[in-house]
This record gives sequence, C-alpha cells and structure tokens, in this order.
Amino acid sequence: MTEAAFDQLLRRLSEADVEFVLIGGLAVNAWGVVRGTKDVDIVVATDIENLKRVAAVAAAVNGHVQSGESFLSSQPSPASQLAGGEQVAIETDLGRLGVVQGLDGVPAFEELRARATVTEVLGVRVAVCSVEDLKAMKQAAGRTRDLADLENLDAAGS
Amino acid sequence: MGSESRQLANQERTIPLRYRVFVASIQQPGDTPKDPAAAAEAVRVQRLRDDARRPMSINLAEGIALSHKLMQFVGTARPQ
Repeated sequence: MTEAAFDQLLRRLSEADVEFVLIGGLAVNAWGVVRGTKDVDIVVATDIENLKRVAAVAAAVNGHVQSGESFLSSQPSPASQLAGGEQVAIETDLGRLGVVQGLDGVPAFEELRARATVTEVLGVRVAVCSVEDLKAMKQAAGRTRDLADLENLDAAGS
Repeated sequence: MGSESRQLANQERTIPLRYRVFVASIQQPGDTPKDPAAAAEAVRVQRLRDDARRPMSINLAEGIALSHKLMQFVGTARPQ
C-alpha cells in the first residue's frame, strides 16, 4: 500500500456503480464517534455483476487478497474470493477494503440498504448503515473494540 | 445636582437591598464531578454528544482524515 486514501477508494466504488453499504469503523465515524480506522468495511450486493464491479475496482488499485496474518505465496484473486461468498480483506494502493459477506450478525445487503442513510463525503455519495444495524453488528462481533464502539455510540446518544 | 436628585440619592442609600446577587454553577450539585477522572469522562461524553449532532458527512470526512494521519504514525516508535 502506498498511502491510504479512503475517500478515493469510496469514490472509485461509487463511480464504478458498486452497490454497497458502509459499515465498520467508518460507519462508527459517520454516526458521530470520530476515531481512526485501518480499513473501509462494506457490505455489497451479492449479484455476480456487482461482485465483478468490486473485483474490477480492486484490480484497478492493485488489490490483492490478504489471507490470515501473512500473504499467501499463491494469492487468491479478489474476484474468486468474492464469488465464493467469503469475507475478503483486499489490500489496495488506497487502503484496505473489507468486503463483508456471510458473517453471523451481519444483515443481508438488501436489509442494510433499505435502512441506510445516504450522505455525501468529500463529493462522494455513500450509503451508511443505520445506527441500529451498526450497533447490532458491533454487539454480534463482540470484540473489545466493538464493545468500546457500542459504549461510545450509546454515550453519544446516536 | 438638584434637590430631587439629592433626595433620590439619599433614598438609595437608605433603602435596604431587596435582592441578593450570587453566582451559581450551571451544573446541578449532583452532576458536579469531584474527581478528575469523572470530570474527564463528563467532558469526553459531552464531546461525543456534540460530535453526534454534527452532519454525518462532516464526521465521516473527519474520521477519514484522522485515519490517514494515524496510519502515518504506525510503527514509528519501533527502533530501526
């Protein structure tokens, strides 16, 4: 990765007509708890055309799949990983893109999208998951960071 | 000073105070944190609430900028 540029990553996804909803750390930020995050986490529509668009964006920014703690010698392509319905962490020149699929506690794209709020960030229109969905996902994930986010979201009155 | 004014001035001196002015904290006694940790927590929560009232686009842009900055510092403390 060169230097993270999450806004550019979001712009590329948007310009490629990728259907996605922002979740994770950036969604926590959007709902008022400003904190640093290392990746852009999204839930995408799972139709094959949309997954192809995600893979194309990833390829355009030199994306490669991160597997576990280290990179595999024969790295699976983002496209094949996405098609397999797995959660994929794609390391790109613009920062890490986490495509969340098939995780317990994460609602389907259609549900998330129906309840999402569309906002504009640095000239890019982005759908952000509802705060209720965000809290439910944080609760389900249950890691220390997630529980801290949950507490802060509650304290913020979000 | 005319006689009316002198009379008024004399009256003012003799009229007892009707109101007692004092300065009160805007915080309720129960809310006043005694220890520094509680005070810091109250400030933190207030800031969170203030941030949460801002437009989503502002918070998101700030979060992105903060993330970019923080990533520049990752690992910088490690000895080379």
